[in-house]
Amino acid sequence: MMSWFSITIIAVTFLSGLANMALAVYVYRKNPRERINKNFFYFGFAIFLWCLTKFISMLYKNIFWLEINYSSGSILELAGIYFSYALIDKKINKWVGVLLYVICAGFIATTISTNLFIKNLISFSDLGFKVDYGPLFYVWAIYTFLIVSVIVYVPFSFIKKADERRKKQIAYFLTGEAILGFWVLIISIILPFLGFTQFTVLDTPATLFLVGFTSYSIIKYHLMDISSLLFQAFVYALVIIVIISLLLLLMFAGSFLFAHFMIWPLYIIAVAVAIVLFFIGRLFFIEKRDLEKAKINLTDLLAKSEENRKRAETERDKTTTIISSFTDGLIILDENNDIFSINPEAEKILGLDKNKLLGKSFQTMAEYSKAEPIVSVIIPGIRNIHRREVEVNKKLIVEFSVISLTLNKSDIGHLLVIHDVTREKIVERMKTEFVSLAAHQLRTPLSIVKWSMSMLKKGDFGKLNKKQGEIVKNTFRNNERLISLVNDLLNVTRIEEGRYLYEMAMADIREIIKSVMENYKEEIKAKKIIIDFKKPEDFPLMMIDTEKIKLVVQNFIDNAINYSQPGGKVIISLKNDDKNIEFKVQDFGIGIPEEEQSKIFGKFSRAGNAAKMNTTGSGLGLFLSKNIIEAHGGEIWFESEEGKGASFYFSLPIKKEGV
Amino acid sequence: MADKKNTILIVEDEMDLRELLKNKLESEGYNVLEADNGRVGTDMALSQHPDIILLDIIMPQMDGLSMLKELRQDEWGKNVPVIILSNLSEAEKISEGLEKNVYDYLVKSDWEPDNVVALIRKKLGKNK
Repeated sequence: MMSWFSITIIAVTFLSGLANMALAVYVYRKNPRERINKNFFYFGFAIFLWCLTKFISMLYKNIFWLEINYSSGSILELAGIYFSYALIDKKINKWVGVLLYVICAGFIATTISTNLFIKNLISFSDLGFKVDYGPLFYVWAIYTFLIVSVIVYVPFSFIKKADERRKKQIAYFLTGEAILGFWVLIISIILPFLGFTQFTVLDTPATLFLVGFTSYSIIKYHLMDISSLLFQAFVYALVIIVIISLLLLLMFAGSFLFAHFMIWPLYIIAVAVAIVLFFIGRLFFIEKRDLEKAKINLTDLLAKSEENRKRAETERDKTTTIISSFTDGLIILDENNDIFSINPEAEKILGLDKNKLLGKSFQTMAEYSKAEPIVSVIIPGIRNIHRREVEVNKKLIVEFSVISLTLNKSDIGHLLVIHDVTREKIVERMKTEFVSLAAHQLRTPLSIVKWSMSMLKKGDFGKLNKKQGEIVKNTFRNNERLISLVNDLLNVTRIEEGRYLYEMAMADIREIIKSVMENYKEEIKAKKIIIDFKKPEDFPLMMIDTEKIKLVVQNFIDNAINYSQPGGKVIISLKNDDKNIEFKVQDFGIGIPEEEQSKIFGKFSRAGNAAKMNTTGSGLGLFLSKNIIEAHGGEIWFESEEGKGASFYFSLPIKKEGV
Repeated sequence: MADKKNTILIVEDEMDLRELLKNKLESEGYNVLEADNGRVGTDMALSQHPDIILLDIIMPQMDGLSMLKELRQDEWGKNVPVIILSNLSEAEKISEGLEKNVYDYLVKSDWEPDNVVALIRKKLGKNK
């Protein structure tokens, strides 16, 4: 029957071997190609073998397994010295290597095959074998002493030269290795030298120091460049094993010394302490692992958010620079229509004080006299406004737009764009005023010419001969053309000044057409134009400004006659569908070139081919017509092909009441 | 035509135009009085009581509208027919804020002397 102590020792021996093996395998798997990892594996495996053979020899208690155990000790020495060199990144001289191998092999061979190493196994106790050693043991002991010294010394001498990190990596490992080395030297070599061979079972558990310190070095200083949380988990498991093992060992060593008292209580206390330590260790580990994870996540997050913040800041700075260097005034309102931003140009144009307004409701701007007219336009409800002109005072006219800002379909506020148009408007107004004045001035001499010619024509100053009559008539007609140009100009200036007033009354549009055609009777006859107009029988009266609609009708017919070839045909039609009337004048003349079509309703617009054919057009007729028709709520358009003619249309809603 | 010749006052600063009108009206058998500004025109109207007044608007010293205002304050002047002959257009007329129907308003360049005579004849006939 084995004692508890013996069983414990055997178990600890086995565990030590396993712990070393596990660490070795782990390190190797981590990076199999690295020399240091490979050598550490051999080293760990040799320790495992040494522990395992010791374990078996303790079970079988015979010389053979003891010899095998010593042999594996030799292998361990070999692996140890190779690892020491790998650790400091140095190589063993090839011939020294061969020599070491030969010595190792020699020891193994002689140990197993002869009794030069172990003569006899005297007895077996809980602490070990009492052995009668042969002479070779002493040789081996000295050799082992030297080798262990080298194993410890090589990394130790390197420490001084190594950098701080390597220094720490190696120092911890070395501490474990040194404890193991000296422990083994004392237990297995020095004591047997002195004749105490019976403690030898205690040498293998010292390998746990090596496992412990190596693991610590890996965790703390990434020995062999290992840095992994998984490894920490592994190590804490090992540490627990080591602690339990050492505790058990101490307890039983103690109990042996106290000759069997208190075995049970101590055992129980030891187990309890081990369990407590286990949980403390585990808790510590879990907490640390979580902390570590959290720290990594947090660091990542911080780095990312820092990066994002910098990027966002750069973007914001860019946007701010763009906004503040904009040549138009910009005011940004947030989703609550509070003032979010005002650029310097807006401050300048409207005389605002940004610092007093930011964050306040946009209505606050009404306190600034120049901004008040704009605010009063917006106040009924912020909506999109496109280029609204506001005369703030005599010296300031601004044009402003309101634009809704939407982001991902949600309203994020409004943008007010303010453009100072004072200069342009003043110049424009002066231009209009000048044209108006000039046109009025022109009317007086034109009237005198008109009246003179009229009276001459009608014989007020005596009868004219045929030639004279013709010349007077021509002069009169050309003067009329000038008058109508002046009238057009005046109408345009009125439209521009917003003074083109409409006097609406119920009227029959058929009568207007009739009277215009009457006016053109002579031209039609002269040019032999065929007019095709079927006057509709029933036609509704409409609310229109007769004089102005007459201008449009006249303009359409005038154009059709002017741009038709002599003998050409002009078709006039008038339709109604109870909601709208449609007036159309179609000619088969020169037509409008495609590239000119888009400009045809513009001011002073005349197509190139039209200008060649008829130099008298002012280019104002269609501009006026469009304004007049649109003021009546109607539409104006045309269809044309160059060389084939043109059809001009307008439609008017049939209204019975005033506009 | 009445036994007594009707008298027409022309208030117009543009001499050529005044001459033409005078010529026309005299050939139609009217007595013609001439004034070249509102001041002279007012005095002449109030002293001679013409049957109808042709009035320009833009004139030196006193413009036509001021003359009209002054005229209308006079007992006789209240009802005398006035035809404004101007080169300002309807829109300008309205912006001056004068009541409608107290006078006729003609844009010179749109009318011929024959039409003016026709209008005068119509007005005088109505007044009789």
